[in-house]
Amino acid sequence: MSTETMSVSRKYRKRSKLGEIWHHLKKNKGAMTGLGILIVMFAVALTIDFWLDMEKVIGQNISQKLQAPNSLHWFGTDEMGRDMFWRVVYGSRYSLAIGFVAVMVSLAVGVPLGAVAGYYGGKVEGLIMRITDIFSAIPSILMGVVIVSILGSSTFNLMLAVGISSVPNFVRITRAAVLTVKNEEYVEAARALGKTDLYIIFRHILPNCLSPIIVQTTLRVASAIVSASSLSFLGLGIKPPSPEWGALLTAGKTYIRGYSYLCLFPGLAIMITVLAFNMVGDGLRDAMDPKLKR
Amino acid sequence: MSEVRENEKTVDDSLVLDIQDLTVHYELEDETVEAVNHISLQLKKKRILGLVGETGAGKTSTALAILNLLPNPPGVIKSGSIRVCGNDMLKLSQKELESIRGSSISMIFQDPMTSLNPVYSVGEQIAESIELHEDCTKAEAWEKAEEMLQLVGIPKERIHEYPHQFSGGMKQRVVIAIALACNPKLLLADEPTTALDVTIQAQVLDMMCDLKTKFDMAMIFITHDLGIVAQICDEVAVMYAGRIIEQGTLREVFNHTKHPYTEGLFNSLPDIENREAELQPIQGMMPDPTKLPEGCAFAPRCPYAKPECINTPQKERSFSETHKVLCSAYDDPTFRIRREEC
Amino acid sequence: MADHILEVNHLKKYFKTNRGMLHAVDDITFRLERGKTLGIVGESGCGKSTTGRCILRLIEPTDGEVIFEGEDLLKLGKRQMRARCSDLQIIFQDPFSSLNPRNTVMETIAEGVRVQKKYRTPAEIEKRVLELMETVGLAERLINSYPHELDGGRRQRIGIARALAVEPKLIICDEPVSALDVSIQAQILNLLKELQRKLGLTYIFISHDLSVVNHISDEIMVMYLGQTVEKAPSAELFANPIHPYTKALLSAIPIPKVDANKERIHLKGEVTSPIDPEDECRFAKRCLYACEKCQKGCPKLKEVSPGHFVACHCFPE
Repeated sequence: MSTETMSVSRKYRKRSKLGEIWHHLKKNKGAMTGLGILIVMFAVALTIDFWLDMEKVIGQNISQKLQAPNSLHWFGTDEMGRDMFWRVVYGSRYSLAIGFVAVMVSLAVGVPLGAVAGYYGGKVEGLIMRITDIFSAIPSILMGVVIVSILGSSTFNLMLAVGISSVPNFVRITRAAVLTVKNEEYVEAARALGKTDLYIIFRHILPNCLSPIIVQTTLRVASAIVSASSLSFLGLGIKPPSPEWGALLTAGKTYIRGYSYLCLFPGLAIMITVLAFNMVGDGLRDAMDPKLKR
Repeated sequence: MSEVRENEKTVDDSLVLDIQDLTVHYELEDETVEAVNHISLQLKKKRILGLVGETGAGKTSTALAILNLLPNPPGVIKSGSIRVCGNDMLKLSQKELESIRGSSISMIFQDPMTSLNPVYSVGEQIAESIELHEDCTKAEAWEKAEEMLQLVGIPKERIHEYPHQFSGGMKQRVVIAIALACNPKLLLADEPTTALDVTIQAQVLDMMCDLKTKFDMAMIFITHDLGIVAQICDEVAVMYAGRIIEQGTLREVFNHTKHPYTEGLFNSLPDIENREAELQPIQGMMPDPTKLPEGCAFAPRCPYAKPECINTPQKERSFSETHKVLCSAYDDPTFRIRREEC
Repeated sequence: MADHILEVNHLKKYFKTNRGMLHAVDDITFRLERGKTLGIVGESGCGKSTTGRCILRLIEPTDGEVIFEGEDLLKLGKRQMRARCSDLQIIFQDPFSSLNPRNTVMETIAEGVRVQKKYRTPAEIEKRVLELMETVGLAERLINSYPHELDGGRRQRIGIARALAVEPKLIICDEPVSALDVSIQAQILNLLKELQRKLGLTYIFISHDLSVVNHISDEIMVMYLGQTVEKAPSAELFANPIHPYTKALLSAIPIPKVDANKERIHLKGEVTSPIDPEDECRFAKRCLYACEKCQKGCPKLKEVSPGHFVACHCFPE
């Protein structure tokens, strides 16, 4: 009996829910390009320690300093004569991790807080939003400095610091989105069915708030990479000479008039990463929205 | 403009609106929505035509086509001609159209909340439309605006107030005042009372009837409420899936209903005098406007349908000079719908 | 002794606004017999929807009693109330916002089915969902459709199936057909009537459309600015309206018959503000028959004939 009835919903369904999302994502060329780029980047970042000789990355060779891009040094060399290509490639190991983990931290903290604030309103909302205001009033660098000096300087603490400083953005955006959704009648219907608040928030409200959150997430990846670099610059986080895109950018700034490629390539790397995240994010948003499916 | 004037002389003077064989399609990327299909309509001076139909029947598309205001793309007028007071709306230049809209013809939309601009006072909004179309000074326009407000039953002291200070019914009155400010010959009202409460609706409808006589204008009243039609219209056209399936005077359509769909509409309404009467809804749904059949679009829901109905194109049949019906069942001279039998 | 499934006593809901207290529902009292339908009519802002939501505690009432099968719902704790939810359900007006756009028909209805702990395995749940879909007249093949793929009538059927899933005894229908076309409206009304016959449901039917309310209700309550102005069995109310507001409402119904439109009673002006109302008849400012008496205190509901209640100083006299 059970197999017979189960087949009814199967009969009219071509794929599972995840399969459905994948099916629509696959048709989106931009998203697939972005996904391809991200996969390559993550593959490189995760495995680079096994196949790249660190000497290539940090070995100095003053005699070859500040060379323009050529066939030997594709991205040129920096003021210490280090090959920029390998430094950018190796930098992905830090930068991707920072961008990704930091944003995950702010998502994990910001979204639930924003959802709770928006859903319950009243005093809870007042409290959360005021704390958020206080946090956003502190310059993010200063906050990062404080967090890292309390927790101690390490790559993970750096990510945490960067992540926490962008929590207010997520709280605010989530709250705004929740406010528009929470008065929909299907939320009331779920309450009439006696569902718990937690169930309603996660099952009905957040899925319908995804668009602004996804957009914000992809944009925040870039700023996380850059703000991590300012912290590294202050000596709180990744120590030189380990290359990291933000740090490369800061280092190249001094030479930007004569040797613009020092900034160009790490900048391009950040840009491509962000673009890739963005395209995947947009694609995901569309693929998860049943209204856009045909 | 001179050419337009010449045309005017050749056309029957009493005809305010003359639509011939109008077809409107929305051409989307991978499909075409056949919103309005070969409709013809005439409207004389001082008459009110009720355009009745369900959501998606093509009522609003028809109205927008009359104003030549269809969103393009995707809306395309595939064929037909529309004459308003003798002017061929589809041949006029943008500039001529702008001068005609608002002066010879205006439109009232369903939602009074969104058709007023919240940052201008109602006086400014009425005066603006007068200034645009009439050769007058600002002071004269304001004077006229005051007059219009009083005409729609709002004390003139409120002329400097902003839309949010008015209730829904009041806002709709302001919208009507704007539409009538330039004495249009033809007013298109797209469900103007749907958003209002019954008692307010009654007030607004009565006011519109009064104004019609005062302003000597013709009106097309788009609605899905047959009760309102019975109350204010002289003529009725029933639309289904982009076609006018029955048209005639109010008496003809209401008392001598011919088309099965019109009958179905009447049977769906609860009878206020007979609580026990069972409702007889029309079965099924509106057809997909991207895949209309060759023949009658109502056939799949029609209790009288024969197999050939869906394939053979319908012919228009006249029962009197004014009463026209689009239904092949009347090929059989003995055919009667149930409503008429009893 | 009639079997009263629901008894609402002195229900009040005030909202705090910047300009004062908004009296959305002000002292509503009624009783509802099992298996019957109470229609609540009134214009927008008269508190009819708020009343419905207060009974379900979707909005917490300010004061009053809602006695459902002998138990005051307002005294229940949050968890106990949640358990009672399977007895009372609601159907909403807008078939577009009442369904989560990201959930399929199956998921939406299953949400209700899961509330009843009877059905546990996915197969059982699915079987039940299919049963419910059949009950409300939805084709089996729509089980994985998303709401936006369906038209208003079918969406409304999903809403009804979701409410039925918990096997409720009382359903509050909040303008369930106002957003639908006439032909679809009739389908849904017939469905609601049929369900009532089959399942012995009790309805509170909220609408602004008097002809619809008349068709479906056994008893009608007319509300104006948060108060009951008249309450009577449907036939009696239509045959013999007493309150001037009821008369005006009835005369304003457009009747789809040529020459059927009788004398209209015109009301002056528009609904007055429900914020901090004065202690007088709230309808007095629009009433054709208002006299001095009307300025002195809110009129109380009094029974003029068996089952027919009116709140008016001047009528019937």
